[in-house]
Amino acid sequence: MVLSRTIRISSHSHSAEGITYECQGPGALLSLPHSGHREDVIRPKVFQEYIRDNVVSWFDWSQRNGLGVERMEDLILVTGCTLVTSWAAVAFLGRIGTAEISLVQTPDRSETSFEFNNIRGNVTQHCSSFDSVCFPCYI
Amino acid sequence: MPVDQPWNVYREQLSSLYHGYALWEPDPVKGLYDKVSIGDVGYVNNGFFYRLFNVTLPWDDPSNNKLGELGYYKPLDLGRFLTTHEARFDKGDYNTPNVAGQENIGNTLARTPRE
Repeated sequence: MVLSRTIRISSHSHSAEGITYECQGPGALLSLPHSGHREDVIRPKVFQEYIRDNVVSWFDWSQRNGLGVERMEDLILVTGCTLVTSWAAVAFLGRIGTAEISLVQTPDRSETSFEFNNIRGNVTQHCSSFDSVCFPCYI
Repeated sequence: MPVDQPWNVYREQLSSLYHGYALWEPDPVKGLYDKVSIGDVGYVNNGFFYRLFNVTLPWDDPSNNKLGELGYYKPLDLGRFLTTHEARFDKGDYNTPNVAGQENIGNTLARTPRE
């Protein structure tokens, strides 16, 4: 079941809970209300050799099928990933100056809804929706 | 591509934590795949990971031919090479050193944004 995204961006937060984050210059934040699962191959060198042997044919195939791979080096072979169920991501975009954002988390069983409040500066944020799948926050 | 797009800033900034390639849009592309898996081959565009196929599966596996018919390739030998290390990824905040957090309790700044 997929429910609607619960992000609300308001000029005033009515909750006294949560955390306000301040950042000087560019920065980033990933907030995880629940633990995730990390899996990595133990022998990545084998994957490196496999890429070397196959990447030219993969790139040719992507070009023939009109996919969005612009350069051969854009192709990724996943050797590990981190899966989580709820996440909030923030990018502080300003090159200079200070930016601030407030983040309130509302837990609901295994998932969490988030409420953002941009206070000042150039900040972009978004979060997971209520969904039953796991999201990779890192690959 | 401008470097200050949020997905680029996010990836570049979090790369300093050495947890991998941080995806700004981690939701799987609906109808294409359910979740990222080891062996996926794909690319990242605007913070999304686009899975093309998975090399641990046979070349003619149905999930490998959603974007075009693949030619024959020799899959990675799972038995010999796909030994993985699994671990819990702790909850909490993962941020660049220049990001500082402060509890909002009693913090009037957080509740009264500056216009």
